[in-house]
Amino acid sequence: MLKSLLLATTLLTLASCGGVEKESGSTDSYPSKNINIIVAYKAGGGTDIGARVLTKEASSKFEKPLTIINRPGADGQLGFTELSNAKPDGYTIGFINLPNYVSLSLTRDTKFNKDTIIPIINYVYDPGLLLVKGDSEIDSIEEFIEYAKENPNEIRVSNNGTGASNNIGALEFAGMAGIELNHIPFGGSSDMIAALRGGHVEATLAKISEVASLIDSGELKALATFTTENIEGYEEIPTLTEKGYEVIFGSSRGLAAPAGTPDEIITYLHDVFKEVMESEEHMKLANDANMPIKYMSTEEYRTFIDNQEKSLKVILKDLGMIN
Amino acid sequence: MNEIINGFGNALLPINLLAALLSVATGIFIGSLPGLSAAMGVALLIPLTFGMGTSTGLIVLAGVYCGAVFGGSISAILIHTPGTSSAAATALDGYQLTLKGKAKKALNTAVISSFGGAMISAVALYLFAPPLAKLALKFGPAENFWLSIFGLTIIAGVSSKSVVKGLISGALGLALSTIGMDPMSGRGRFTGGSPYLLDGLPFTATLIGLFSMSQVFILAEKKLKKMAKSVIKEGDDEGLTIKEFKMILPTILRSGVIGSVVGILPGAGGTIAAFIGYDTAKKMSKNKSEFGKGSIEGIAGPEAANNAVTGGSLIPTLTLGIPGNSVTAVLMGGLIIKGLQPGPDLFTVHGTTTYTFFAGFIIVNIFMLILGLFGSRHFAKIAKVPNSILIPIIFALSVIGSYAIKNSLNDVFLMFAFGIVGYFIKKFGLNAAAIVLALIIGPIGEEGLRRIILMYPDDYMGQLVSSPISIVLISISALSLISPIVLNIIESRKEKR
Amino acid sequence: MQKNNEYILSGVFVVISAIYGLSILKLPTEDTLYPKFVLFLLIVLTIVSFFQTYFSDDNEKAEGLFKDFNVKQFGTVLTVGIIYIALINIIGYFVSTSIFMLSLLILLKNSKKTSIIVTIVFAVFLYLVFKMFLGVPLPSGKLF
Repeated sequence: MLKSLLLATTLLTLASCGGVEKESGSTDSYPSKNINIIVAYKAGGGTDIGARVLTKEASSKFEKPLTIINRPGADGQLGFTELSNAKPDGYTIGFINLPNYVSLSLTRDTKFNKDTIIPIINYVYDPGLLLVKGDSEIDSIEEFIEYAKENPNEIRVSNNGTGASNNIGALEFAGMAGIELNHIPFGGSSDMIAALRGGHVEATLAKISEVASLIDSGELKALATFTTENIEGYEEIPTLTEKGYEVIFGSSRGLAAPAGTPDEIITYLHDVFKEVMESEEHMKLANDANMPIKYMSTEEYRTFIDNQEKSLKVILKDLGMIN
Repeated sequence: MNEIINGFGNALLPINLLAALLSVATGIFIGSLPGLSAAMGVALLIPLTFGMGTSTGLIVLAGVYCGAVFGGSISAILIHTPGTSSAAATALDGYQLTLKGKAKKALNTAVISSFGGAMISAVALYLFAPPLAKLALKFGPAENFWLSIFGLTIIAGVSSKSVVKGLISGALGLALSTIGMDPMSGRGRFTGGSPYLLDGLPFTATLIGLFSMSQVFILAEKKLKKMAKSVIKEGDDEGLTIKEFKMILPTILRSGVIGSVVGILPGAGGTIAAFIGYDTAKKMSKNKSEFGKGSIEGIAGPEAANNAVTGGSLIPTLTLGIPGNSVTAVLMGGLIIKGLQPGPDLFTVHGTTTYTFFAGFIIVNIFMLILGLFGSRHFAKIAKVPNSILIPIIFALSVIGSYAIKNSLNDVFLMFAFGIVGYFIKKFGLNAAAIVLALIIGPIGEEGLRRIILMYPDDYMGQLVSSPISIVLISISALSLISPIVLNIIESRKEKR
Repeated sequence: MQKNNEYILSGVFVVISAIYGLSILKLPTEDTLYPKFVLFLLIVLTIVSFFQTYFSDDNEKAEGLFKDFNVKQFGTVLTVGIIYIALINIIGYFVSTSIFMLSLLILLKNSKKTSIIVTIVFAVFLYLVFKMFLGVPLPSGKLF
């Protein structure tokens, strides 16, 4: 009995060991096994879709498979923590979302911050817009502000969670314009946009990829964009900056690796993914899926993240969200 | 009309038929394993569909979805552990029938009801998609609040033995549902400082613990018989008789409508529909006392409802891009990846694909019916597996099921803890189903109420009762509460005469 | 159920209500309205259930809750289970699951032949379904 138990165990152990490949010491043979990509949000969501589109196109360039691992929870906190804690051997990378990554590290007691990861390349930048219903009487941003001044706390603005990035954007804008809005949190961007469409709130701040088709169909009207330049394809929508309110809000998604990952690996990954991103097949897929691609090199991305942290610190302090 | 016929034409292509058959079989299989849910199955299969043509890929996802919802009832009936949360209500009467040796009848009832429910939702999908979708939009915070109140009145209906115990289980479920982030302020509540519980108790892991793992402990308590269970009377090989079918037909139709409507509402899914279906069936049944002891109406009610959710949930997903539940959220992601934006375009520009998908939906359910009916004799044999083998298997499946959701070992620990809790719940006559219902419904109600107060600080009472939908919901809730009492009084008066 | 057990149940709920109530105290006041409402429900229902038991007839004929309780078997399942879960991350999922299945099957008095077959079939099944088909990454443990 003991013998057969021992035999069975040995066989099974050997079998399972066979699945694990030997660790590679040098970076010449990178990648020598499959690369895990951590997505800090659930399957089917925006980040997840983006990850799957990119990895689908990229898989032909890698000899070993790219595996997406969803680690949702706490607005991304769980996934970001795992990414920062992972072994920096190049076999675990992940998508980080800004400003969430930075705002979470500032407002909560997290085990990650902008220095626990090394940015590789930025993938998507999804700028934000202020929207009202298509049939709303308010036609322009000036009318919006005027109405808000005359009726403080009456315009209801939905957001996808108190303290989430569009809530911060809305608060920043309201502060600059000197108006008071009624901010109503909902459980996610889908719910928040649905609340506007159903007429339960008067306005919302959402990202272009989430509302492009709704703007095109006229169901929603965009009053202004939270960018410095007009959004491509929607040049008639004014930017808040040109109207005098320099509020930037948008969410970026890009790949990063845990701090300590060797530079050669970072460069290698950057070069491969850049090639994939710029390829025709990929751009077509991305356009079909309404994803606004915005490439940033490793250095540009690093600067972007650092700047986000600087400005967020100021904003959050002003809003009283951090000390 | 042309498009619809074209759609069928496409769906009947050999490749699509094959895809439909294989995906339903896979779905039934995934659903039947305690621990793997429909949403997980669909999510994990999406990458597989990348290489396929658009319509074929969508048919595969539909097949897995519909199959899984039915599959959950197989293990619910045979081993009292729902394979998916939407089968939790089916376990109530289904297992009782198995103990009476009527497993095949129970399984046949389940698959026929599931098919019926799905077909009714298909009718809704084809004919009423746009107006029904608008219904989804009209559900704001006030309406959601009353929906949850209605859901809570169901709890009493789900308690077959002691109403007080059912209610207190519900209260416990409400308390558990408050763990997580405060929905308005975003601050953690009862999370013990760790980010793990910030999203609340992981629902599926909790479910697996309460239903599957607890069953392991229940089985482990008593001395195990060596071979086949002698508790189960030697196989009644009888399926569903025509007479019985006629009896449950009204239930199927009614639950089909209930499920289609519930499926349309974002945030309410198969589990809630199943419980409402069960409760309504019980309230309208002529054999109320049978419920909880092995009533086939008690299977038809939830099963028709939870499968009707599959079609219903597609309505807001496809027309408005608002997912009706977690599975369609994943499905929507799958659509977007293929370049299909939800909205009117789906029915015009991409009409061919969409109508092929609808036709595929119907074919997939036909396959489900066939597989279910033919397979039930064999599935029923599972009930004869000795407990000594079931115990380790269910245990191991619970472990992997709870792990695979978020790739988190913490979920496994939590599942185990709830297994122990679930064991004591069963021993002391509390109601696990009530806890689950409250867990789902509680947050909807709390958020609805608090949002309305935020939105209309001066007038929230007025706003709560202002919309027609709210009034309808308030009326049904009142009815749901009062009718058992009234009926009881009428019954006892009748007897006194 | 016997009356004593019902009292124990009410007692458990008193404890639960107490824990919940104390946790509420730790929350900032704006967030407490709803939890307080839930606490209220818990307390009311606990009191109702207590009185219901008090006024009910003693059901002496009802089965003891833990009659026929096979301590050894239950304890075995529990212990082996805990060891299994603890080991998953250390020696990897496949190995620990297989050891678990084999040992528990044998300890539950299945024949050796059955136990080995079931273990192997299950392991193969897991491998195929999860690793190959669904692509779910399973814990590989620190030792392997």
